[in-house]
Amino acid sequence: MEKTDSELIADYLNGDEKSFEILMNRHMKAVYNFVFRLVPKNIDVDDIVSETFFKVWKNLKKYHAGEKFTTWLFTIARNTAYDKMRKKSALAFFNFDTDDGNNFLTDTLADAEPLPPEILEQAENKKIVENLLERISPDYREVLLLHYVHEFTFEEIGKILNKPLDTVKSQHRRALIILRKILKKS
Amino acid sequence: MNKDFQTLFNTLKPLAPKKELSLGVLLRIRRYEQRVARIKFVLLSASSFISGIALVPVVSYAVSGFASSGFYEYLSLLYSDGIAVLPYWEEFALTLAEAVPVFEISLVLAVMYALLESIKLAIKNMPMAFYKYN
Repeated sequence: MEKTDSELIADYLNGDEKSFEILMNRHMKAVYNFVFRLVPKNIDVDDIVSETFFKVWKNLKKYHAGEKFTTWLFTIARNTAYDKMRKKSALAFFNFDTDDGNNFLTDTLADAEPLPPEILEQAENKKIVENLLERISPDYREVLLLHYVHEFTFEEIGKILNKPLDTVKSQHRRALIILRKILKKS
Repeated sequence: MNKDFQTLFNTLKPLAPKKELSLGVLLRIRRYEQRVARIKFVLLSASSFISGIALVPVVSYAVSGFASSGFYEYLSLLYSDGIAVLPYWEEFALTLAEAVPVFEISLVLAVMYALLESIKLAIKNMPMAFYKYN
């Protein structure tokens, strides 16, 4: 039977060197995909992923066994990605955001309409979602990625982003409104 | 979860990281461990050297402590006239114990412990500190 993340960490801390490698390989792909889609293209994804797992290794003793490992891991990945983006000044400007972080689209749109079926069909063949994600602010992008791609609950996303549940839900709603608006425009 | 958006996000193709990435992380960890081992090795070697040097004056201080406390005189009495001492063995044992230079002995033991522990840890860190990674 496959060992849980907590068991692997316990094994590593008890001297089994191989356990960390297994743990890292288990989550490498998910972290890579999250970071790849979170940061702009001019930022080295490999560097962030490498830094993330190095930090995980360095802080493994601080990990609490009761905590969900992936939540902890993605928190580190997200913070590392933001540190790199700050260094590269990649957080400054996004298409629909105002200087104070608000978004004029969210104030004028409702989030009830379903997406037109042709958009879903086209998305299968084209890189529509990739392009969409690139056009929205990382604050919204991370909520969408964590929820729809990595299947975290809003409570878990709140822990990862260190934000209250209501803020996360509100960000999610705003993100959907923006995406819908962009989809309609295109 | 919004089903439409779930469907939309399901179209994202999962990307595979390079195989070298996990090897790179492991190598980075090993290099960090090596750096730490090297620092420890240098500090522990210095500590071994200092404790080794310190042992000489500490031992001579302990020897002079034994001499000035009268411990040797009491002890030699035991060998030279042991039968005479026997009836008063309790008082004699107490006097002998009081004459032991406890501070000097503790100092010698502490320095010896520091020396042996430093050598032990320096040897333990040696393989990691000098291992060659390609």
